[in-house]
Amino acid sequence: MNSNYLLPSYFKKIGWVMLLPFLIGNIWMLLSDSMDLGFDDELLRCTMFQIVGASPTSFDVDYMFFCPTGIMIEIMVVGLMLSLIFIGFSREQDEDECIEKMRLVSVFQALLLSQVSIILGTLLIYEVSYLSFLMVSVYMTLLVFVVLFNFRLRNFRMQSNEE
Amino acid sequence: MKVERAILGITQQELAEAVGVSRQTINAMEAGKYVPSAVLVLKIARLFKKPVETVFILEDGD
Repeated sequence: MNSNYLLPSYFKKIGWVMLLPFLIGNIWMLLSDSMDLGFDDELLRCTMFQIVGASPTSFDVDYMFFCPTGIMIEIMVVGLMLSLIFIGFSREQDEDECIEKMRLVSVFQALLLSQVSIILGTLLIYEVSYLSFLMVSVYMTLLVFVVLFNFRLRNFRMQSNEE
Repeated sequence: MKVERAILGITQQELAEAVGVSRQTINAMEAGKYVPSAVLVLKIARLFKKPVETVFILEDGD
């Protein structure tokens, strides 16, 4: 089977190594919304290019400009998403059409589950908590996909080895 | 498929290597847990030197 869209298999190991610190970082970031745990986006500042945002010189919305800003949230979210992409979309050592089918079924189920949870969250969560929920929604599909795919893969290998 | 493999006297691992899939996939196919693609079906039938219909059959509900 020609799965050319997949990353080389060593990306999976890189993904697992990256996952733990970024997962802890994201939990720290989300819990800091309701508790004083010391997380602050301004812990790390950098001048970033922005496509759209609040203008540094006025209160208007501005487009295409450079602005010094806190980047801890960006690092945490992008780091977690990259680690999940590396885990979920890298080639297995024994990649074949059966594993590819499991991957596709997992993507479909993850998409369905996460979209249903976003609809429910939109209807049931309000105000500041909704912002935290939206933050999780950004990587929810990927997270659910990685859990479902690895669970399915583990069961497939265990059952085959038992027989 | 299991019968044809036994007639040929090859293991799941050998069959898997010959058609380019994992042993687990051959095992899942023999257990009826995985329906292979047309390409894989044709490869296996060619290896067994049998028509596709003698190795694979449609079941009720397919």
